[in-house]
Amino acid sequence: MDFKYKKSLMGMSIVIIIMIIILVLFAGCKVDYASKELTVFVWEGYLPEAVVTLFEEETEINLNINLISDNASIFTLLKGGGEADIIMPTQNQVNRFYAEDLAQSLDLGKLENYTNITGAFKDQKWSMWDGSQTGAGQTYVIPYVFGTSGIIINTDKYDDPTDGVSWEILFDPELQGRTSSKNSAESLMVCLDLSGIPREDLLGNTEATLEKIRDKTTDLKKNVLKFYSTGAELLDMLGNEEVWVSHIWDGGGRKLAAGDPKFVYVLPETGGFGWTDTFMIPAAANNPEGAHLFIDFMLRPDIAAKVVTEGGYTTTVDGSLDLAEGIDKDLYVFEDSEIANLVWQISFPEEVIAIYNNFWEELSTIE
Amino acid sequence: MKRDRISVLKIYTILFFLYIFIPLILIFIFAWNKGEGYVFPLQGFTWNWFIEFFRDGLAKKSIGNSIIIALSSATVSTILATLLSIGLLKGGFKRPQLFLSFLILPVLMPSLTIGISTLVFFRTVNMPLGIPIVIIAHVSISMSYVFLIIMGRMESLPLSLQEASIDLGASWLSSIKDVVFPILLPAVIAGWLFAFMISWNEFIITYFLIGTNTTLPIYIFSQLRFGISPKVNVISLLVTIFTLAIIFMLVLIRNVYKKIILEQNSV
Amino acid sequence: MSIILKKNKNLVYPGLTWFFIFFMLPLTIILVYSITERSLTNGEPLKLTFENFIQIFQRKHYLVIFLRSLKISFFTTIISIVFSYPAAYFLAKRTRFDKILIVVLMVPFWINYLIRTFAWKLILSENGILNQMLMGLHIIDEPLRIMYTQTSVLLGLVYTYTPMMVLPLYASLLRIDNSLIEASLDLGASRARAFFDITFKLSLTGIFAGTLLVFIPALGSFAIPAILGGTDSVMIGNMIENQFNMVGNWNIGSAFTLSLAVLSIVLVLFYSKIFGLESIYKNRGTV
Repeated sequence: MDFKYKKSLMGMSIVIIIMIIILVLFAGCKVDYASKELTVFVWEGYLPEAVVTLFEEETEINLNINLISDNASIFTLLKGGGEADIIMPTQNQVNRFYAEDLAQSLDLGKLENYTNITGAFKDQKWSMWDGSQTGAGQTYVIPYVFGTSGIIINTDKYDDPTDGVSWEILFDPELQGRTSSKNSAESLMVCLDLSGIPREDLLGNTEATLEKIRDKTTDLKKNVLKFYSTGAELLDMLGNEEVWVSHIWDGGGRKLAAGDPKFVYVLPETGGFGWTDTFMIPAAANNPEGAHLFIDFMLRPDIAAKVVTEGGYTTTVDGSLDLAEGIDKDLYVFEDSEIANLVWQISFPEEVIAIYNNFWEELSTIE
Repeated sequence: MKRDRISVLKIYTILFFLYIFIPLILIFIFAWNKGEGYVFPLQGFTWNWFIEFFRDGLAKKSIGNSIIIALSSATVSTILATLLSIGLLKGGFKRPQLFLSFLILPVLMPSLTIGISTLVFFRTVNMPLGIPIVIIAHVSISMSYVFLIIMGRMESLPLSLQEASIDLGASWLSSIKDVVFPILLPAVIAGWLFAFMISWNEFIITYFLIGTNTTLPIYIFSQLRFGISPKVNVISLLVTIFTLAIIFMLVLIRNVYKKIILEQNSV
Repeated sequence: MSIILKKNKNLVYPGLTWFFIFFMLPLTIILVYSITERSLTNGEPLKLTFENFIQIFQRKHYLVIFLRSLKISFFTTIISIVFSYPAAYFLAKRTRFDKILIVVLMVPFWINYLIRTFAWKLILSENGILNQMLMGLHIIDEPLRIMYTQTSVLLGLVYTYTPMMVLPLYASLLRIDNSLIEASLDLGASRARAFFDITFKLSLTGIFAGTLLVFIPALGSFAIPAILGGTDSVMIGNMIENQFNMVGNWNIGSAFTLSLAVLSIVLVLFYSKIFGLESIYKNRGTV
């Protein structure tokens, strides 16, 4: 009698498991996916609902929207086999995708609105890849939202003049324990720049170059309250005045300054850091046609204007700022000299990235 | 004398509950705070975030997905874990702790690792991503937690109880259904709630496996980059009210049910 | 009796099969990554190596962080036990409403832990509630700077894992027969003695389960150290996350995870030996 029970229970469980597997396989059956669905991963706030509705009406493609939490996760996701038709990596991370064959080249012929992109952003080095190096070959990404990173100063707590400030302010002993910087290799770059070492040196003997800034980085570590990993926590630290001066992205700087005039956002005299969120089509995309349609759609000035209005972000699309409504446009205009002065991260190969990230990990995680 | 003891404990427990609820109350307050971010001082009263939340389709959709996933995974994992604990601890195994050390793995491995390995494995065997796979992964993890909870209750279940019921003529199946299961019921319910909580909060594994959908934790974590919108506080408030309402309703139902039984018995 | 055992045994099949297929099998991926170099998808032949593990033990800062994580998790567990015990005891033994109260206790934990962690900043930061209270009562003159230290991480972890400790404690205390205590009091034991010899001992199962559910997840936590902690409070979980995501080295990340898993299993077995192996599933004092 118990043999029957044993067999039946064991048999039952195996049957159930097989049924589940079949169910899952069926659920994923992408009938007609090729033309009717588009899976996009965007940063929160970049895709207003009005835009989604317009796109779906015009193209009859169903948009599946997913949100990116950070660049590294989306990279890991794709590397592990996840799927998407559109992702939005930041420009200093794109070469990681290229190197792992995770991106596909774009057919510029399908993007008639490509001409709308502001001159400064067309044909940036990091948007091109020839299989082994950036700067040549085909276009792989389209820059879309861009901004700067600079310094935010709480003028209630910092009396000195805010003109002509450089990154050195983060090391100011009078601000000991009241500064912050990004918890990433970007802070290493700050130390490199301040030490007058060109970033290209990392391409040569990475370890030796890093050793040169070990002391500088340690000084930074000793002077900050903590390194911030997310924008949300940085805004809080500045808001409750635990931190008085910090490295910050322009959107955050603008937000704080708009909320309270004691906050001042400045670009360091050596040049602010530029950042761009780009559109990229993963190599394993199911609907590259639709993806191109999507990018082309977003590059229309009237659509980009909606992104500016709703989210408060600057886009690379000419005319998007003019058509935007309800925002203080002065805050978003960049002088040509400022754009020219922006410092862009070099595209480093994966091995170099690993070395300097490990160096950063070593320094930033112990006292 | 005994009275003193009781009130000290009572006061302590009240303070304990306060400590548990303070962050909650703070979150609620900030649902109406004009300013963004979790900082003092408060900036004034506003209903704006409520309005913005109700307009936010993605937020609502993500909550819906989370509910579906949590309900399904909690139920399945509770069933599996209950059967598992009965079988493992009352099934004559000589060394159940060997199994235990494997069953604990989901508890002790970082979800990032579980997420990556599950993603890679399922993609290698070409399983499509999406909500079903997320439910499966959640079940695998919460099963261990529920097992640990029910395991504790197992001790008040000597085999002699089962044996006695069978001696009295019950079938084995009935001894499980009508004797063992009712005794386990409080732990089973606790386990279900726990599994629901785990699935509801689960972010990383869900992120890797969910494919084209969003869940509430994903929605919240996506706001870390530029700043957490106070809409999230509104969501927390609404979730709590909803949960408390359900608890309240269940208590009411139970009391009404008890009264009916009592009246039936007295008739 | 043996027939019952045999039939009960069959109940394990659904759960174990599921666990094996959907959890254990995927884990082999981690195993493979930890003993190879570079990516599985590169098409390069796999080279077996222990280099990853050697690397982990060579990097000095890993040892520091590892010991630090052990320390923080240890104190989290101890504090959690001490904090939760009286409340669990009250709920189990001194009130009729325990079942409702336990569920009510769980309610805050249905709010995403990220938000609860951010809310803790409102309590612990310089202009937070704690400081405002202490300064208002003139206990201190200057605000305490607790944030971004191991203390704040500790407090955050204790808070987050409270239900993991309260639930098992409550469940095990609930089962203790009051007549045992009464009997010992009748036989002349002091209340304290009765408590320690009977109640406390019988609740060891709950403490054991609670410790497992708190210590080990705390060891692997990364969101709370990231938000509430600073440079001196980074933990293993952050390292693993860093290696997988930022550095992109899945091999070392996997080796790390495997080491963590092995360590935890060892701890569990060691711990269960101290408590007596049977304590996992048998109550030492049940009549």
